[in-house]
Amino acid sequence: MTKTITWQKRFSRKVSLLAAIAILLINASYLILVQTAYAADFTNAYLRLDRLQASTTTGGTVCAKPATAGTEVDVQVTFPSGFTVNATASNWTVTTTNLPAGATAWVGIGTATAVSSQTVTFASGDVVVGTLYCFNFSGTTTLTTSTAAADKTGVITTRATGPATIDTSEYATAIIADDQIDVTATVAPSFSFTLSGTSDALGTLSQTAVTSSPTPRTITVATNGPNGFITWIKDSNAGLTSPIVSDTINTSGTVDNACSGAYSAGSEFYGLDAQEGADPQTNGDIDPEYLCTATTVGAYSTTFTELATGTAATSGYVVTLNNRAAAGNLNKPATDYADTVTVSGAGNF
Amino acid sequence: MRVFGATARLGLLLGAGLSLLVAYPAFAQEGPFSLVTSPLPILVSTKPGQPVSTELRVRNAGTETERLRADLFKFSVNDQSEVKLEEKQPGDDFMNWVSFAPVVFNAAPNEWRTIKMTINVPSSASFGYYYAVGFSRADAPTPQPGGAALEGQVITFVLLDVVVPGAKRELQVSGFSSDRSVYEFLPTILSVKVKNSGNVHLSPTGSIFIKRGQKTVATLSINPNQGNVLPNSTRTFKAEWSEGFPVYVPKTQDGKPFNNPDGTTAKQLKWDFSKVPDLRVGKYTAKLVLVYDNGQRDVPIEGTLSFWVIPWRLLFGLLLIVGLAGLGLWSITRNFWRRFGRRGRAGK
Repeated sequence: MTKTITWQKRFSRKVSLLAAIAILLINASYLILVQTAYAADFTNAYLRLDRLQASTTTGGTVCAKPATAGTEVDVQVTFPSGFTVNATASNWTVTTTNLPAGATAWVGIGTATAVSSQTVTFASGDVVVGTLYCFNFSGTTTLTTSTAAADKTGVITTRATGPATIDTSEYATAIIADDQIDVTATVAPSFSFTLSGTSDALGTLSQTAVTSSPTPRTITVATNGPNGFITWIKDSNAGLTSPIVSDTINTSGTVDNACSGAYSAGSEFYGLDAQEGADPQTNGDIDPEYLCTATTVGAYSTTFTELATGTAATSGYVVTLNNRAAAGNLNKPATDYADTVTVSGAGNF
Repeated sequence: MRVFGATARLGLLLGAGLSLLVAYPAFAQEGPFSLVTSPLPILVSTKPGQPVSTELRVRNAGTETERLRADLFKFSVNDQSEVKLEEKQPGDDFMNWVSFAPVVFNAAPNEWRTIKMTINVPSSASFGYYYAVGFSRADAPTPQPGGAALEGQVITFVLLDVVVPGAKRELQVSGFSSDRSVYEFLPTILSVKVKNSGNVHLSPTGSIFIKRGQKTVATLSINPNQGNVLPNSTRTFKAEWSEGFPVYVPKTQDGKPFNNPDGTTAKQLKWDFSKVPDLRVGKYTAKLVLVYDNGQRDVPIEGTLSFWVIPWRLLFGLLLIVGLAGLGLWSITRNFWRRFGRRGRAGK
């Protein structure tokens, strides 16, 4: 009996020892044997092509939000089958300007270092998990889209030294026959004319000094017509007329492309002094007849007389209209001296 | 009778009440006047005896409803190339051919209205007729005792070509000139006077080639916007050559153009050192090539003029610098030879 118990004990010990060794070896194998690392998908990854039209050269934007911590050294973009991928790596230059909203410039992105079949490898820096990174690749002698088709898929992969895949995701795009909409529009030529007010009350005229418009009216002309504009002025009476006393303060001078003589006290005096208020395109001119002073004026006429012209389009040419008048020693007293002045404007032909 | 009288009174009351309820638009009779017209100008063509219509559009750019009317004028161009706007004169039968629909109309603020202009061209009509359609307030302005009433009016030019055999389409260049013969700096303003010796309005276009020797240094466009020259009138087209270093540009003050006391635009020199290769020196030739359609083919007209660009201040400054440098070099060299000469004699 003693031998049987001893043999059983020894067998049991041996079995236990073998089991312990086996367990140790199994656990150690995880440290010794090469482990297969299964890469995660990006949280978000996409490729946005500049052109989706079939058989068209294009650049694009690559975006990805890493999901796995790692030290990236490059990023590979595999383009869908049917795309023509230029094999010259140096053509695949990159930029990080004008990225999608919320995106960060891809850290350390650089010109492609290798092209193999449909896959282009770009140098990359270490990117951070949870941040959306993007970069643009050039469309000059790099990529040509395939024929029109849906479900064109490719892959974006970030890699560490080894190389070892860190994150990888498929993306999908579609290529269509025509990705552009022809937009046409017409801008018609137009002419705008504004008269700031329709009354100019001169009040009581002096016989010894010139009275000017208390609130000079303005005309504002705007046109996109390339040949410019013309304005004219016409007077109903060629003077300030009083129907009650049948008297007229006649306009001074004549229409002769020059201002009237200077005012002298005691003489009747009436006419227009026009001044440039604004000439944003510096292409307007007041007619010499009306570009006068405080004591000289241009003569009014009962026929249309050129007031100002412009040689090209203007965004707002302004002419200030100063009526200037004085009563003569012989003008009859009355309160109803009045005149009607028509100011016209047109886009030139 | 009592019933009739009561009914009549009731009717009057109802009528008065209804008139209070009906909204009458308030028309702007005083105050600012602002209109926009499009397109401009209008070119129409027809044959004798065939009426032609066109649409004129006008927009009330004011803040109150305007009651507007369309009036007809004629226009021409005088010897000074001024556009003369005129009312109908005796004998202007061609103005009787025109009708408008509507003649008087309302335009709410910012509302576009379309007015149809119909010209019933008689079979005896031929060649060109030149209309100006004026839009203004339908009611004449109220005369202002002790002052002037102002009326605004917007004009649209309508040029009618009644196509008949034998129309004479002919242009001549009556002048090709520059504003100066010698410039210190650009710009150069080139003027082309075109006279229409035909009986139909024409639109010439062309180019001016600026050459220095045999090399073309600039090409300018003449009348690129196809302005029209009326029969028996002269129109001046201008082109500016301003690609130079330095170059005179309009002077501005606070971003606005600045005028001289005489009203002319003040100018100042602009020194853009990226334009140094455009430094102009020497004799330049401007060659004009103008083309118009005489109904059968394009007819070219040519002209040539020369001008000089002598940036004398720059050249004088350069000469001064070179002169001073030369003087300094001569002085240094003379001193060197004097010392060398003394040592040589001392050594002997």
